[in-house]
Amino acid sequence: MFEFLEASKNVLGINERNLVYLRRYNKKRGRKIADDKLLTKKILKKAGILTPEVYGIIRNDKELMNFDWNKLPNSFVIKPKCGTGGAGIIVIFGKSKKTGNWVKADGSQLSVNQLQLHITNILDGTFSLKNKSDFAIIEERVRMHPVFKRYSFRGIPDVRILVFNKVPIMAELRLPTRISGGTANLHAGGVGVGIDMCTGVTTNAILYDNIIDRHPDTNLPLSGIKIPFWTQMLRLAVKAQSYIPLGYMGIDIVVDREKGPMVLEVNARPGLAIQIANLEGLKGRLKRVAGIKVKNIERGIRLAKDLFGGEVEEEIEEISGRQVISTVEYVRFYKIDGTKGPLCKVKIDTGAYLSSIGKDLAFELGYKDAYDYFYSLGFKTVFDDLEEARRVMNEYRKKVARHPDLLGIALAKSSVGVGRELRPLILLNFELSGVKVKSMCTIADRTGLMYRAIIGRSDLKDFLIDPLKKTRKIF
Amino acid sequence: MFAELSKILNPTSLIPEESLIILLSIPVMATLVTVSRHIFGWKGLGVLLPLIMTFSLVSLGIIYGVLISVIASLIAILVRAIIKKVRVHYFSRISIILASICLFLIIIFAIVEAFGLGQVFNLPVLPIVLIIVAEEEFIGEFLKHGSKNAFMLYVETLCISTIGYFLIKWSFYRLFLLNWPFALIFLVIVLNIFVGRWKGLRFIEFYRFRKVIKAEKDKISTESK
Repeated sequence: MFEFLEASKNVLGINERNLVYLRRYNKKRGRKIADDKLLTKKILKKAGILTPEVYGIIRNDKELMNFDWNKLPNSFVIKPKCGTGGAGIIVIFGKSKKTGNWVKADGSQLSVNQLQLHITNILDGTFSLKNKSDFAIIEERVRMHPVFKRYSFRGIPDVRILVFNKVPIMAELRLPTRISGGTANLHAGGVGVGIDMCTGVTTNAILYDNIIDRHPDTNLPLSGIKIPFWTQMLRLAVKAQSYIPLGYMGIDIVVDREKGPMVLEVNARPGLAIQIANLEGLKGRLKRVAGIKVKNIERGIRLAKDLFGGEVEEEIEEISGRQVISTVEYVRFYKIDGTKGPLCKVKIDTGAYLSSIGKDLAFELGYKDAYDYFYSLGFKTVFDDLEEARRVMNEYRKKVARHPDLLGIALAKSSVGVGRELRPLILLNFELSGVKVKSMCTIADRTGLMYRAIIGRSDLKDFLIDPLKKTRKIF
Repeated sequence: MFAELSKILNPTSLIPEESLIILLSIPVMATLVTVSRHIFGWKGLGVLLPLIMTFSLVSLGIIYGVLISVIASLIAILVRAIIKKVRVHYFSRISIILASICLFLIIIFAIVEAFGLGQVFNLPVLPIVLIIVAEEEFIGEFLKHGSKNAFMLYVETLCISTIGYFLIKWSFYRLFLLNWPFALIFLVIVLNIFVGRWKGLRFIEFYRFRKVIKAEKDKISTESK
């Protein structure tokens, strides 16, 4: 209990965020800029930071009536100026040649009249904070970078970088989903993925504050995505903070296919769910940066990378050229015909020389025939005496090897009780932590044991084992 | 002179008891909302809504109050679902929903009265109006942030209001309030200063960030090893 409370001190809650970080570091002037997307754009543009281009601004009904819809390009985005949480945003992908209507991301069509009605709603303040009347902005639609194409559903993912005292503190990739309806907002049902600050590679993912492994729509694994232009993004974020007077801010960056990274908007009250996506408390990080004087942008980026990123693990992997694995890992087995088999949690057992898989797993992988052949030869397989076991093994070795799927006989310590045991030896392919392994492995009776297979020393030449590492499903 | 002063210091003698209780319960209710928001993490819908609900419950009685509020909300949800596909302005939408609530409430009242199930037409009308007007906030939440948010906020508001109701009906609270009205206000201010400077995690944040806390705990324990 005491430990729990101690650990919770590193986590930033809403109370403290509001009272300490927003009140103290984010003054009114800065908040006003962040809440006004047009003003933000103007300032960032002056600073030489790329933002999506504005095609038009509609301030009132008269401007709406006089708006020339024909001068717009075929794809654009309509959004309220002071909107929050991605509400009220319409993304137009093109124009239908048949009807002349605008086509939305989901393929449905909107006529000019319907667009006008939507904009009237924006002007009335339906989507703004406290229902105050608002402007509508029509701006460039960002084109998706190919890296993100498979990870998002009808919308552009963005990278939210939290910057405090000119040092990037934490970052997350935000992916639109079917539920979120194309916006990358986490409250609306978007997926948040934590990012390692040093390498720009994603770690854990969350959906509505719950940890997930795969994208809910595309079912692709979410960890291990390398964010393109990572260092450039960090630079943009720190640069944006030096032009907007906010001490603690979130900067949302999108990557355009052609233009590269650009700042979509800045946020004066960034959310706290980013802590769950990164599985680390913000307060611990904020405290470490609080007193530092950061002289220039590059120094801020260096600090972020050194302080908050680069798990040592990766460095070891780079130096040794070997993967660091835990004592329990997920392994993808391949069937005898080369097709993908099941994904199993296995034990990494340095006490054993050969790997061995359970009988039922072997059957699943197509080794039933070989197994049956082995036991149909009718020799004794369990021995108390080592010499006798060796004698039988030598006698039957050639006979066993006649079966195309069998390599021979393996002599192993019995898994059930004392003594020695003869087991069928097979050639098996599996993939562990991204490395393909060709294994000589035995089939054992593993009923009643926790793991369906163990991986022994002979297959672990390309790995280093770290018992403290957490088991992660990366397939 | 002293006689007037002592009268002022003892307002119970000047102001009717019930008015004093209602009046002094405003800051108490506000404090209840503050505590539930900052210590427990219930968002509620500002101070106004729980306040309106509480006083409506007090003057209608808890059963009628909750019933009317729940019925009004159900009708709001139903009508919203029906007119969801119709493209109209935001305020028109709200007006249509409010109109339906009034219509159905009148019908229900008439039915209840006709079959002799209760004495609804004797109920004070102002609290009913307040409940219906309060619906607007929930509907707005519904239209903007979806049904789950709105439902949670509604339940939270109803809970806080019910707590407020029982507090106001609690004899110890009434006695304390009538005997030491100024002490009560002093207490409220002190409590608010304390809660207002509270920086710790809210109760529901311990749950929300449980995995982060666990990860931090693991980090601490591996560092100390």
